[in-house]
Amino acid sequence: MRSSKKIKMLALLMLVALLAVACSPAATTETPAETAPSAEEAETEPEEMAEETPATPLWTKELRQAIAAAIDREVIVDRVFEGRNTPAYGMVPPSYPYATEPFQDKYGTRDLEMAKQLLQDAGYSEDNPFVFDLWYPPEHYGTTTADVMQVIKEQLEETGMMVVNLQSQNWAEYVDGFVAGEAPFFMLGWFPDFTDPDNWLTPFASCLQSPDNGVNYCNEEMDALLMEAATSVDPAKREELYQQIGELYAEDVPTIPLFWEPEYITFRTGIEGVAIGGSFEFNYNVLSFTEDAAPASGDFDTIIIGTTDEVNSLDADDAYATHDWEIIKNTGMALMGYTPGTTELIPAAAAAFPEVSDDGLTYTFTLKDGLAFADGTPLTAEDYVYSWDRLNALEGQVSGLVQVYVESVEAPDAATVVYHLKSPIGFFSALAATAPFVAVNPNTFAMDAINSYPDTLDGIGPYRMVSNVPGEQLVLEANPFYTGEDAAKIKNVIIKYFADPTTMGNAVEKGEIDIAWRTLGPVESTRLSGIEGLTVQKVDAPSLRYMVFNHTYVLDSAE
Amino acid sequence: MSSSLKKFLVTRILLTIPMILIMITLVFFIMRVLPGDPIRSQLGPRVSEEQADRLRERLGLNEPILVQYGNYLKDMLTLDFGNALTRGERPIREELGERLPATLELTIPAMLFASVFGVGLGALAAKNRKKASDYGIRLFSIFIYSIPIFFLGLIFQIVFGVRLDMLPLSGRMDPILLTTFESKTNFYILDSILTQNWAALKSTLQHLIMPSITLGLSLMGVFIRLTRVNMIEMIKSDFITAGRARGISENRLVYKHSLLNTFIPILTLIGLQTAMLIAGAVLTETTFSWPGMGRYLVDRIALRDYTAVQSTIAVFAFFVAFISLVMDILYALIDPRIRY
Repeated sequence: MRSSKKIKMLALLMLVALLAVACSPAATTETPAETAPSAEEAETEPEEMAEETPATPLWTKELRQAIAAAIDREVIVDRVFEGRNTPAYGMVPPSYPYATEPFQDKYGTRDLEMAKQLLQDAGYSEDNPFVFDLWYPPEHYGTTTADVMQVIKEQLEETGMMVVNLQSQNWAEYVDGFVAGEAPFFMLGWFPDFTDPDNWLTPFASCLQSPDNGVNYCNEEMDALLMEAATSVDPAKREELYQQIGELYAEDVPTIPLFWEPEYITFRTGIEGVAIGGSFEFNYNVLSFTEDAAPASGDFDTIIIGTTDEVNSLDADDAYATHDWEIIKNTGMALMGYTPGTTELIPAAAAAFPEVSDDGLTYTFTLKDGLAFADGTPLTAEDYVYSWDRLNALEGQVSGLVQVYVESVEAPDAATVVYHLKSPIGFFSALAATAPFVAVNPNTFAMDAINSYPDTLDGIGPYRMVSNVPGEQLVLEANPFYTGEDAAKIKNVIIKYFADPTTMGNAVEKGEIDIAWRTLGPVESTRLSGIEGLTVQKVDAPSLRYMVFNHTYVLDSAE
Repeated sequence: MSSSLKKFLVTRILLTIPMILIMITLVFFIMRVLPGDPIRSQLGPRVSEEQADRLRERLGLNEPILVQYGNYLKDMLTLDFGNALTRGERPIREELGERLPATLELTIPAMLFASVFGVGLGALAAKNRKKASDYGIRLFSIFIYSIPIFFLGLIFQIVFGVRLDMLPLSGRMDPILLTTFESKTNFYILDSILTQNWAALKSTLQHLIMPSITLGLSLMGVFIRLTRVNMIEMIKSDFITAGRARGISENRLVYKHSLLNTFIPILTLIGLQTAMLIAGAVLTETTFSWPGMGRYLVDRIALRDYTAVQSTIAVFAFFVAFISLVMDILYALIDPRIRY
């Protein structure tokens, strides 16, 4: 009797809970199109702004320039990072082709007077300051973010005519918010897909792509320049165009580059070949032990690399994360590649640079002789057609990266792959160095489903993956069918997964792992750099932190 | 088994079902009310809204929420759990099949360590009440109870792992041994015994020492204090005085008669501490890079992997419910006065 009463009560409770949640705001999968600024922003706005028509965007060019002029990157880097990071005066990494520093040219390291003048021109004064919210994610880009934001707030408020309200939100919420256009001014990080300036400018400054990053910037002149630079195949022409784009960027300020965040790789004495450059590729095959090394495994044929990353997907037609690409590219080979440690493009699976048709729409790659998957299956041009068809059929996470540019792929003969593009692009060779240009092994990757956790990964690269215990370790061994001159020097590689950077730091100090790779963090790296027997190498990662203006942000006139 | 006990058991098991149902329902809706979604949490702004929508479509996130809930319940009833929404969208049954054994292999020794040594030290303190050892034990219990678990773990790592080089720092087994280790059940101790792989067994046990002691210590404080208080009550009780008058040795009086009679509150505590154990496992697993359910849960909450979080919580809920059921049965077995 008693128990049946209890059950009834529980059922009732459940019903109430269900109703309560069902009546709550809509599911998060919906993305509202309108912007919805918070109430206090509207209240704190100066009067003349509030009187304007609601359709007028908050950000005028003067205001954007004033903020760009008032920020002092050197001070941010010194105060928050003790000089470890590098100030960014342009959106394109300095190690990339056609990189310029337009913000340095226009604003110097800082021009407070210019900022004040611009604010005055915009009608602001000390009694009537410009008030706005600055949003940031406190955890996603490391714990230093809050300090950086504080310094920026101080620098902007030093003009005496700005009041910055710092607002923070956890990452999941934050992304939803800025994509929906809810934040007026916010901080983001960018990491490239391929080594071309286009990948650093078009996503933020083109009418088509900038809404995806919450920038909502659209300027016809900029669009035309970006398009011309992207489609031009003449290096001299591109150089000139990116110079112009840089100048317009600093003038119009779609976003403000802040600084480059380095990564650190720590390894034990006796390891050679650690070279990670601007392409941010870590080639395991060039690693080697010196004679006096003390391998963590106790075996000169095995090297152990620690990481705090996790595998998301090892399917080249789906994977879209740095660590996944690292594994895919060490076990596979894209059509193009990089000289280890540099951004210099070289043919990888291709025998030479592609032949480009006069209209720039057709790229023809000839494959190297004798390439074979690690299970012995010879590689043919058909495998690239298969991968392309599969990418389209499965619509994995990375598919958009290729689909934007490529129209079709064909294999006129076993050694020739032809890519037909939607429009001519000057950086297709760099794009062909990304993971989706690694041909998948048809024996492992069927046409009908994404295989994110294959048992083995038998690609055409110097290594093959032989096992993967999620959260523990992933094991690679030398590909027996690899014929390239850069065959693996160390036969076995074990990737050991850590949940915590401090534990990983302790592990490399103790010698449980040979190399501690992403992401050790500056604090742990600094500690380890003082320990004998360890080398801490700063990697100039193309990892940018920048501020974004939401160009279509309007204040809610209803408030 | 008496019929009344049978009736009690059936009722309790039936009650567990709505409890878990409420739990997973709440988790289902809370996860969806939380801002953020699996696509954006994983990829940020790297994919266009259009592509993000296609990905959501593929994961079934565009369905009405009640339809999703219905599908989810169906998955749960068939114990299928469906697929994860992030990190490769693997079947959750497969993922939990890897993670749950790791967590059990960590928490069971930790619980044993905490209860055996906790009760033992508590009894010792009670026997030597107001002597130096009592004060020492009490101080110790407060100390380990208040120290944050990850901090304790880090100290152990630095002292026993790095400085003294006695124990491995992280993971469940030596990486080299693991490359050839055949694991059928994912319980490494069991597997290494079954395959008579003694090197693997030794390595597994070595890897288990620091994390399980860290987790065990953090739970032990409460055991010490509870046992001590109850034992002191018990030692003062009439039947012990009577026993003492009849010349029964003090050790026998304390460790047999008193201790046995304090087991009811201790069992209750074990039931309650199971929930704490899981909370502790989250931190221990992170500190020691232990590939268990706690680390999995934290990772997937951040990624808004709805199905993975729901299923993990359901398993945890089931686990806690099961332990408390076992405790209720044990009451009856230990204390002849308790009848159901």
